[in-house]
Amino acid sequence: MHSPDTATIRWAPFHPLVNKEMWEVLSGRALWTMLLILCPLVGYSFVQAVSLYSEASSAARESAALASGLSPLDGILVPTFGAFYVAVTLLFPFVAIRVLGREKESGALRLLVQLPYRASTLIASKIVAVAAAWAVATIPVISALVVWAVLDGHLYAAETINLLLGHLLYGLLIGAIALFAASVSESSATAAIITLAFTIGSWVLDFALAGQPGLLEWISRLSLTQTLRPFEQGLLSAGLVFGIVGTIGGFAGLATIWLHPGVALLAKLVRSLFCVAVAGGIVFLATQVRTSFDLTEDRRNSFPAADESALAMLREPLVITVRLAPEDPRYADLRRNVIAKLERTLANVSVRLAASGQSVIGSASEEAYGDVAYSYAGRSATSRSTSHREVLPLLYELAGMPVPAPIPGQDYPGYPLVANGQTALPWFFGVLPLLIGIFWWWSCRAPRVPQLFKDGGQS
Amino acid sequence: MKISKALKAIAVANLVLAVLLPHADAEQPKKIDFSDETVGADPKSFLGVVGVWRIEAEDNNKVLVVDGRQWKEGQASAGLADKARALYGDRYAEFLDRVQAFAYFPYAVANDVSDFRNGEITIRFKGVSGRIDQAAGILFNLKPNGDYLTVRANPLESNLVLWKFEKGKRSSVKWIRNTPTPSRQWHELKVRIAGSKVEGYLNGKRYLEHELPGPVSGRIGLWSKADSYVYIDDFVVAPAD
Repeated sequence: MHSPDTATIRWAPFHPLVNKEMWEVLSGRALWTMLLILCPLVGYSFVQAVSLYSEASSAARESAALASGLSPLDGILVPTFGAFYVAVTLLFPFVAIRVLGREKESGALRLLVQLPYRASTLIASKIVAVAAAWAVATIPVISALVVWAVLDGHLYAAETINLLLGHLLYGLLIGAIALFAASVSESSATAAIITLAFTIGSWVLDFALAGQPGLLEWISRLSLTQTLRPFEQGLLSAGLVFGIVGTIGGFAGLATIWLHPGVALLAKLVRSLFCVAVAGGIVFLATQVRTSFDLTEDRRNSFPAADESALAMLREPLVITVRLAPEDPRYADLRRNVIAKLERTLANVSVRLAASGQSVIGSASEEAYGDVAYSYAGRSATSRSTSHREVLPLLYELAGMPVPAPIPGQDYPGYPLVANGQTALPWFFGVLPLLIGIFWWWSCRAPRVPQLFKDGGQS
Repeated sequence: MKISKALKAIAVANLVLAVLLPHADAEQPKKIDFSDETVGADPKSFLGVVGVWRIEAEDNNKVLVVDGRQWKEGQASAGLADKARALYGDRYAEFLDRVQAFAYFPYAVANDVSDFRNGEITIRFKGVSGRIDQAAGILFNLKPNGDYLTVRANPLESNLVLWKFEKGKRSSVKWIRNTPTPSRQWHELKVRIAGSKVEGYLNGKRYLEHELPGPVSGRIGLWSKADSYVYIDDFVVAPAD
């Protein structure tokens, strides 16, 4: 067998390798089976979402105030992409594992590593193929968006693209884990078990630990599904994107390290430790990045514009002491309505949970439970409200600022739509699966390795 | 003779007063049907403490709506409820009830009732949507620090439960199964309180009975859970003393 060192010194063009990986993915059954399953899954979710949205819209047509609460992001996009998320979590690993697992099982990997490519180049080409497979898998959800637009539904480009980006990163993350699992396993079945341990383990974390305080809360943040939430809320968080890309890079790095069968186990372990340390460092740095953008049309993650401008002038540290249990719904409302927005707006905000046992002020008394104390510039005030309408004037008072006048004309109009989603059922349950079946049949006739040797694979 | 007639008149008047006075002392039932509220606005008769509560119109009738559709905080992930349903079948709702991630409980407090101790509280409700829950509850015994009790029905689960909340932590006190309350239909939920005794009625039938450790005293209101989207109408308070 060829030495790994000699394989790394030669150079060859990237695209024949990518072409080969693309055909590997497209000619496999896993992707097409996933697509066929996705059609009814996405279709059912979409039709249900349209039905509920229409029902809410019928009541909203007579009221502008009620209509303003109807956002296609929550009503249509997130539920429809929810079905896609389930399929990517459970089925996409099999597609990604195939990109590497089949070569390991057939022994082709031993030949592949002798080609004039670095191991990292081989993994990079497989990541590109995984991304292409993800793009193909989005056909049902993209078609759902088209159907929504045809039904005269509203789509706001920024929040739609942001949601797509979130699912792309999630898909690549699953793909990178699957590649890592395939590289350390001798069989695709073992790789599938390892990958599903990550994905289903995330659900276990979601179920068991979400809402728990302290260390358990930190562990629950390791859940893969957590990565999608900000995107579903219309937030583009630079730290989150940085962290996911770092994690994808980490798993890709591990896959690279474990790819070559000719490297000693000890060397692989040492390199893996280094890779994990680097990826961990990147993720840690990512958690320190607080920049985020509210891409929703209704600006749900932000205070009104006048308040945002006024709050931007507060330079002193703001300390918020909350005497609520983390699982108390009032704390959930306070976080969503006030704290999360303050953290996005102010440079220096710290939140202490007095009831969590980690507070510097000790446990809250029975009567004080529910109090929220705000300390700014040496002054403090207490409130039990979870609404920004009460909290912001209190902050202005602490800062000695006047309450800003609201800027008119910035109200979100809402997009009520009464439509019959049932008309899309034949598309998702008949036409689209048929088209996918035809294309699958066509792709099976295509050559499996068409361009590799023609386009310079022998150089 | 005139004195005798006057005495008779006084005696009759006393008799009439003796019969009528106890009824005059008792508070009249208070009904909130939201007819004077503004569609699309927050309710004037209730203060929404947790969650989104607003007035909507169903045909020509104004109703109070709890809207959990936009609730995201604490929600484990999109489609997780469906996965739980697939994994656990009919028991998924009970399973989700134990999951911290779904622990989001909207409630609204009636503005005009400062202390309710004895009597009946009745609501009509209709579960419209909600994949995790479609809960409608009557909240009572609300203390200044936020502790309270609630009796709630749920069209998704067809059960009636008395819940206790202390410092934001929830625990079930009494759990009654098989109380049919289909979605998208109006139902009547009633709580009768006599001192420390609580009774829960659904569509006129008594399902729940429980003796609390102490007498009920505090504010009252409405309660819901997670992603429930529920219509509520005809909130009637009938104090017994």
